Amino acid sequence: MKRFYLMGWSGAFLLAILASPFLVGNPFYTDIVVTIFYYSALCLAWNLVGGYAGQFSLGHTAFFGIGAYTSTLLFLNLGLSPWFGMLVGGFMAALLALVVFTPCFRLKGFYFCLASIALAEVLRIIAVYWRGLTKGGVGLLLPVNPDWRNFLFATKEPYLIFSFVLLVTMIGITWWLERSKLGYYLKAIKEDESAAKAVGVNVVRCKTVIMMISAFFTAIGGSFYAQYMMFIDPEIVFSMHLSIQVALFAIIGGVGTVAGPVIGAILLVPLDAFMKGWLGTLYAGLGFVVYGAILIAVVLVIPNGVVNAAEEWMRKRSVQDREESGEILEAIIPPPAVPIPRSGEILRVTGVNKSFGGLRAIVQMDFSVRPGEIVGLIGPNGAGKTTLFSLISAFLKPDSGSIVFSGQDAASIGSPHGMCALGLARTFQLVRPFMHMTVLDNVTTASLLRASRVADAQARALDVVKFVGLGPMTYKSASSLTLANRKRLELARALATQPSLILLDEVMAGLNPSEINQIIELIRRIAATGVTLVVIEHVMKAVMTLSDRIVVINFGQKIAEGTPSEIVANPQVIEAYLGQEAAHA
Amino acid sequence: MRRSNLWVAVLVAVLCLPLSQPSMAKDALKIGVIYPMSGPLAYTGQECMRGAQIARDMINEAGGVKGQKVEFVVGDEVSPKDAMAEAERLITIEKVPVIAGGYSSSNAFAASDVCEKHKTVFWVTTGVGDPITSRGYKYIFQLNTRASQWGGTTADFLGKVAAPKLGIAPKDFKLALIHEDSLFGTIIGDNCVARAKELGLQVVERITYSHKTVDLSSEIAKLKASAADGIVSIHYVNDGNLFYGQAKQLRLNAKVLVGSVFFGLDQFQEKFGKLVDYVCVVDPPTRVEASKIKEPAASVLTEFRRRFRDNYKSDPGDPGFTAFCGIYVLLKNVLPEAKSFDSDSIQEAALKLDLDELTTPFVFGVQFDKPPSKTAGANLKAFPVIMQWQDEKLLVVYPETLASAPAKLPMPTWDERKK
Amino acid sequence: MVTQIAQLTINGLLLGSIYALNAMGLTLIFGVMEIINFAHGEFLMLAMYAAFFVNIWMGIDPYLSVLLVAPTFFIVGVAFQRLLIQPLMNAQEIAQIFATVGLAMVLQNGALFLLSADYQIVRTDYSLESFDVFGVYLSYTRVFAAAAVILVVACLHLFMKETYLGRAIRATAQDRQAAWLMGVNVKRVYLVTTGLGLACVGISGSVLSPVFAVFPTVGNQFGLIAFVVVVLGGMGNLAGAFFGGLIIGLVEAYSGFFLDPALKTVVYFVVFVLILLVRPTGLFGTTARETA
Repeated sequence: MKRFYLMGWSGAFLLAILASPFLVGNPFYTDIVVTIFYYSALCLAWNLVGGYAGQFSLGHTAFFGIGAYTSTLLFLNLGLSPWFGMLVGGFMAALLALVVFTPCFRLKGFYFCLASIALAEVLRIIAVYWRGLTKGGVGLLLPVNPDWRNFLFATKEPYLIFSFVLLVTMIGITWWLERSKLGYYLKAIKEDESAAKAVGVNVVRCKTVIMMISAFFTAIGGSFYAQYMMFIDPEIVFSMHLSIQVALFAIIGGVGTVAGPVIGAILLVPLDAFMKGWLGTLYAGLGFVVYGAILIAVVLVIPNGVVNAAEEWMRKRSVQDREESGEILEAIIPPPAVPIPRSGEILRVTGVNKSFGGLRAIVQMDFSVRPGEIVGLIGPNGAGKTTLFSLISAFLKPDSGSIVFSGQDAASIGSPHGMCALGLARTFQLVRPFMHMTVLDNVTTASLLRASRVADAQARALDVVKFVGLGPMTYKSASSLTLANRKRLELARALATQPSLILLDEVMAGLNPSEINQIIELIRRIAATGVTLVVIEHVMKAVMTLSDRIVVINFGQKIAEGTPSEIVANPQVIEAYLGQEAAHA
Repeated sequence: MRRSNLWVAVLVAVLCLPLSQPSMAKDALKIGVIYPMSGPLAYTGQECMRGAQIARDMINEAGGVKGQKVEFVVGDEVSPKDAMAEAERLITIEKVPVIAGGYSSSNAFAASDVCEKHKTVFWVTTGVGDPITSRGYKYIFQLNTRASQWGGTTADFLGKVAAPKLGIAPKDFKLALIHEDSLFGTIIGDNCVARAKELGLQVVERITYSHKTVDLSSEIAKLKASAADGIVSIHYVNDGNLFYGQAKQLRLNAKVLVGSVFFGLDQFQEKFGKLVDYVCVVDPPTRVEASKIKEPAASVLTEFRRRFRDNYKSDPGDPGFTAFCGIYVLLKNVLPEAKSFDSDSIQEAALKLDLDELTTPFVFGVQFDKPPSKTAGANLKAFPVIMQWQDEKLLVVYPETLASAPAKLPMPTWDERKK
Repeated sequence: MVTQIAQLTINGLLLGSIYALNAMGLTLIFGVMEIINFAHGEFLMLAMYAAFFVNIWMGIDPYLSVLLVAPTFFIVGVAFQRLLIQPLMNAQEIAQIFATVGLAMVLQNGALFLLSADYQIVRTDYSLESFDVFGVYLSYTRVFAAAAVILVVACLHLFMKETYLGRAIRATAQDRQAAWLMGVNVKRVYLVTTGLGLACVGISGSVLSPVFAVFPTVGNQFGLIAFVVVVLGGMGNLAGAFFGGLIIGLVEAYSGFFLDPALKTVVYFVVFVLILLVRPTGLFGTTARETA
């Protein structure tokens, strides 16, 4: 209910802003409102990539400029109406995003930032240099011929309406995104890319899609600008200044929210106009000193922006305690998505080698796992156990040898999310929950792999959450969980992808004895549903009780394999753990 | 939290500053004035402002316009976008009926759109870009010579005066051109090349660069490789400074060198001393001797130069000169003739102007092309001149009718000049 | 033709050494603290102004003013670390990037507000002079700048290898936990490193003040190039920054002549992005750190 209340008021507020120029009747004021609207739209577009996917671009002006130049050139040279021209501009920008920016997603944080700045600059220089096409530094001028078919109006009001519509569209898109599968995936990516990959998120594809959407609408903003101002040149539409401002407004307002960028624009655009008008001529530069100071202050004190800080503050005041019942035994988890072979092997590792520089981490590894087994994987620290898991789950590529899972060659799948889709899940040695999401959202992200509709995914996630015993914690933030519960969450996420095989990496590490017993119970129940498990563990009690079979590795090589009792008596195993003397004791 | 409180305090303090602005006199005529007060062109903008202020002061001292004193409401044209916003502000909030100024062609071009939309007269004193008056707009008036003329005159000088003096036939004369890449440089460049081709000169190189660049060594290397007889360099102030300094360091030689803006400023001579000799510059007629024009314009010009030198210890170049003349003509010849102090009356009065050559401080006359011509608002009587530094003084050398001395060519090489 | 190529090569090397000098401080700070300082160009701008004012007010030759400017900037660096970098060490990525972006805005526009936009350049007797070697012209100021780079690189190299503090810095750069456990005062290492980094910027500013004009936005161009050089050479790699700078200088000189001067920045930006994509650790960079 509270949500709708808030939405209603926000909508009314925006409509009031829309109506105000008609009442004030001053063109300068109308101009400010138009600027607020289209800047908000631009900030929301930036926010799609910056706030949701966690890629901070300072090169969005590239898209803005492409939009402006495309629609204008098409109009001036071919007479194509800017109504269509702006769509073409949008597609050109999306194409640019796909071809040029997407490869840059591999780059971390500030590298991506720098690359985006460089790319935008390159476009600006090309726009100046390619005089034949763009008239270079002279710029392009649109004729003063008002005609609605050509998106040229004599008064400001139609532009006002259009920019408002653009804003509403962006708000709608952002709002839809937050609740969609892509939205969950992007949030997960922003939290922890590796964990996201492990639950089946195709990180590159998600980022690419959102970047293309962001580019498309930023370009539309650029086309609008060209039609509104009727004059563009490379300095104006490929301006680093614009890139910074769009990011700045979104950040100060609040990244990763719908309201944040809008609030940011509403607060800062008038401030900008005010400072330029009153202070600009008298105190050149002071305006931006103020901007910069505000940015530093916000980023240090409330890095998530005004809106998020406000929400935090409100949340602290009203503690939500939506309890869910804690029945464990009743809950059923959905079955494995990919059919498990009845017999034969579900996983076969043959002759796998992996080296890191001079270090040989895995040497001629051969082993297999039958469906429904629980296989323990033990060995001293540094033996290569986690590396082996990373190889099996396609986080790493083997130098030689093959890994066949469920009849498919891992090399041909090639990606962690692909393996996950095939039915292979893994947990991490150091737990990686999506900290800022609730338990339910964490698990929903995983179950979205198998259910396209968010509502279905949530329902299944709810079952899984109850199954692992996190019922009472369903709506709590993952950051508030104890270590034991975070381990359960990790398991829940793995289960939600409906795997046929789970790789468990030191699930017991850091738990006290009673917690260990509980987890052992949980693992048993998971195995009872038919899921195959490969378990790395140092807690011997757990390994011995759970495993059907144990594989021992040391220095990257398999040194023994057999039942728990066979392994315990094996002299090589004893030597590996306790040294030579102990083996001969 | 402490830190953000500090910033809030700063913000509040800063917001209180505007309250200390001086208030305007009640009966004054307010006209808008736009020049670059900040940013890379601030130096020239400041000189424009000085010229404009002298014009205003001289008029006010003589009784003002129809008895009323004139006051400026200032706008800052840092960039095209800002110029537009400032014009918008001056028109809709300050409600001025005319905006004068406009140094940078790109900025003036952008602002002119705003003025035409609001039917406010834009009196462009200095900006030379042709597009400013190429759209048949009715409220835009461009006083200064247009960039296309600069290009054409330069080519004329090279082909008709320099080449013969150097004993080179036009078809053998190699011309290299380097210009900054904004509207200013591009238009002059285009026209220079076009006219040069008409005269049969060989254009061997055309290089563009951003006027904000910090290094021109590659460009100069290319110019050297072109082995040109004449080099034309269209630059502003800082890039002009950079160009000449690096030309010296890298020993870029030419038989004749024509530059713009910076080469016509006293600052050039201050920085390079004797090394400025033989350098030519294309500019409005800033240094025509007062004796060559008629009274009362001659006295006005002399008075202007005296005041400028007394106050600022240097002679005005194109920015100061055109700003002064532009404002002076507006306040002396246009506003008094307007029926009332509103945009349409001012526009009417402007269209009626017909001042002959040598009767204005500009040296050239003022008469605007009329609507519905595409180039309505352009000053049909404006023309640029070529000047040359001789014995560290800037003298007009072309056209011959206004020349103070003949051009001295060829320019010695850098090594020769060291002695 | 040979002379032309030689001249281009010299131009490129001289320019490149200037780029290298600018990048030194940046790579040092990044190598140890892994924070990118987007305000690097602005610090350079301030250093150039400092040298300019020292020259105007006290009449000191810019190469001597290094003795004043460098220590001052060392102190500025220490303050910068304490006030802005330290709080960012454990902050979110968004804070790390945009705090220094904000600082860049404050510095750039503060300079515009206080100092005006005029271009200033230090004029000395030799600032316009050049000498020639077999028809190739070298300007004195640029040669001095190149000499300064070599001196700075040599000194830093010795410092890093021979002194305790230098080794402490290198240790912290490789693994701050381990260094801390070994008894290195990591906090002090941070302060010294940033101080050193900005002292390098101070030297750079002094040395460049007779070569380039200074104006409030000069940091943009130089800052961006510094980033390109640092990434090219490998973050934290001093030698890499040196060679990276030379390479960028040469690329700029050659592409300016053989392609088109207007496109020279395009060329090295494209090179920059390609390097980031193909070899993100830089041409000379060490292997990437292990993630948990």
